Amino acid sequence: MTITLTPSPEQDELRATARRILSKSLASWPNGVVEGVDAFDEDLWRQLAESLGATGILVPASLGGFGGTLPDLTGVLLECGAAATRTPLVATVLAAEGIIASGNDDAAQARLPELAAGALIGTVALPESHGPFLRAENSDAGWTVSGTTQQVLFGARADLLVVWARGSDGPAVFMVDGTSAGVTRTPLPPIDLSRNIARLDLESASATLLCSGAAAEAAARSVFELAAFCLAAESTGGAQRCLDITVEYAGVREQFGRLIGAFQAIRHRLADVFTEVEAAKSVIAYAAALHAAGDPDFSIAASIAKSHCVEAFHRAANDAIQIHGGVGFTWEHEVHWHFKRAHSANMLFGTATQHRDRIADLLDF
Amino acid sequence: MARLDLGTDLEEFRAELSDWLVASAPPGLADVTDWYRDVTILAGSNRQGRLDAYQSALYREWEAILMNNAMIYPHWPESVGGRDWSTTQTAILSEECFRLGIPRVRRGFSADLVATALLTHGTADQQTYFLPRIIRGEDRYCQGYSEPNSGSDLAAVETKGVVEGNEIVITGQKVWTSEFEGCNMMFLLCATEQDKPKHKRLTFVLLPFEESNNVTIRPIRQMTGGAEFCEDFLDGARAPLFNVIGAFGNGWQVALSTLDTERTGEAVVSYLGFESQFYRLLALAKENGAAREPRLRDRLVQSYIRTQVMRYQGQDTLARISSGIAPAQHCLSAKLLWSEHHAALGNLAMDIVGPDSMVRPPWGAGPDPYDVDEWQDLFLASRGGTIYAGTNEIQRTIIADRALGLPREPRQS
Repeated sequence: MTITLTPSPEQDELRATARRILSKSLASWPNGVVEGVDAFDEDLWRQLAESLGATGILVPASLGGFGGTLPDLTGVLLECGAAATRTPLVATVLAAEGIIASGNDDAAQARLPELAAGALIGTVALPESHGPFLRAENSDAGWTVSGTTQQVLFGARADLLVVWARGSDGPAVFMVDGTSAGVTRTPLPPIDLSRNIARLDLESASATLLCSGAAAEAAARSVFELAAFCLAAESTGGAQRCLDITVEYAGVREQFGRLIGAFQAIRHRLADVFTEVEAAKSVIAYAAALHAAGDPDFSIAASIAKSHCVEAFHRAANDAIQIHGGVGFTWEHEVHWHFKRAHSANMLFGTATQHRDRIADLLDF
Repeated sequence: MARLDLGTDLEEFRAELSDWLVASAPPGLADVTDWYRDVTILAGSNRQGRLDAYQSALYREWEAILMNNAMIYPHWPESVGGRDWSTTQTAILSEECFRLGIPRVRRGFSADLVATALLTHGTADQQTYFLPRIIRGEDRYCQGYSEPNSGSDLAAVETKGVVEGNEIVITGQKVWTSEFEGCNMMFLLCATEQDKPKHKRLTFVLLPFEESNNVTIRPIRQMTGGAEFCEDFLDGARAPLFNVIGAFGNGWQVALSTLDTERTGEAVVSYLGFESQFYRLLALAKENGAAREPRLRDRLVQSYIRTQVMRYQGQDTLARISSGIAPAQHCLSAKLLWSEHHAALGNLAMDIVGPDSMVRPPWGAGPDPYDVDEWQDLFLASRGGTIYAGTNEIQRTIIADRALGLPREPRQS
């Protein structure tokens, strides 16, 4: 099994296009703060989905997608992380992955084209990551799903929910329409204003069965690992951004008649951040390459990425605040957005510590 | 295990090379020792084992085979005894040797440095004289940079060189010379242009490193108990002017080129050594139950992640070299990564071993009066890793300057 680590010209181009689109978001900092708990940057979302096709990169070309691989998506995620975007891109990518991983052709043909086009917002609720299993029941009228899931990414605006529920035959994957009867979507006020979260209360909501048993468990694993990777990639982009703006600031801010970037205390601290950010970039590139090659080691690499990259992001954002001094502690400066994003990136889909525990299990420590 | 896609030509090269290695290596060579156990320049508790292995008949036989096939330093030009291989091809040689558990034969880590100096600043005559001698093992080099008053501040060296006729006469003291045993040559920096500015007064010289040339060495005993460094007293040691590389007063530039030496193939295999070392500690932690203790378990995974970062970055470097892309900036942080990983792994090893880590192996187990076991040795020796090869503080300064472009610290010239 061989892998490729250096980005292709097409991947570089895709990333550059994403950067162009996102530069407007960076220029209008802070984006989308004031619009309410379930709002997001709709203009940016349309551009990412429609102009760039980011939502469809991993969707097969026959179903309206780009038929790409994870390294194709990686550049977009790094840029989204740097710009601290508030869009349901990752949530929608994960919903599509849930359908793809379930192997249900009918569902794929019915819903993937819309998800790929960004015409639908999707999200997922995994057992363990989002509370206990939902309950599934089958009757003459079809399947229904009941129960409560917590901290669902962009759940209040999701048109399509991919959820895991346990019925009499064990675990299974279902699709539920976000607007159908029996679904209550409650936006929760998030500490990170760029990642909306919601509680979903389902009461006999009508659901479409995608797959069950071992296939459902495999699909959950696949979505969980992709989620870990996406958050790690966004974190890496965010960490790089924190380093960049802090280096820039240290090159213009003077104290004691000297640029603060000439003080060893600042230089060495930033050198350590650099080391962690470079490691994060390597981890992301390698994990994406393993995924593209269909290498089973992606399972471990995704957890390595989640563990390393969110911690590198936390450190980069923390040190950015410290080195910016009082300015870095103000609401107006962008750096607290990154700090808060590092926190939500850590909490969603397994913390860094939980992923290390998972690595130990996978490697039989 | 995933492998880098290097293209059809290099994969064919790999397959042919691997067949050749299997056919040519003396049977049993892989069983002599674990050739990849030492991951840094210090062999520490494995010192005697390493010496014995290098003196074994099978190693000698393998050395002769590689020498006859110009495979000691195959990336050197054919004119000096190499094969004009690319860096990638040599890296593949390192990978395949590792995979087969057989050693690459090289002439100490200082040989790579002096070769860079010769290939970038030496004349054709100097290259064709000195490099083949290294390959044949006739000249074995140690490094003469550090001095008692000049460690991190390398350009401050005080050792003096004076021209007398067609010789340069060198007087001064060098220190922290590693891999000094068996060396007969030293490359060094000395001050020859006293009236010039700090960085323009230095000259790079290849010095016959022998007692008969007024060189006295004194081993330095380290905190590990071993003596793997020495200090060197040069009291009118002489070298022909032919041995001056890159002109008088240009020594700083020559020295800088050696500091940037890419240890060919090393980045590709060094993580493998760190990985196998990690797995040895993990085996111990599983055996004595420490791996089930949540805090130790988490630290084990953190160390494992560090070994994987080194793997990813080593592979990325190889990918870039093979496609002619400039090396990534992470090359600048590699030294911080491995040395701090090593220190952390040493600490972890002591916690995994527990109170028994206070007790050294029984008296008489080895030749040294302060024998330590592998993990005690790692715990102690890793304190040196953050100092030698450019202290980690110097590495951070290099990152701040070169990678981040931060304003320079004020310096006295």
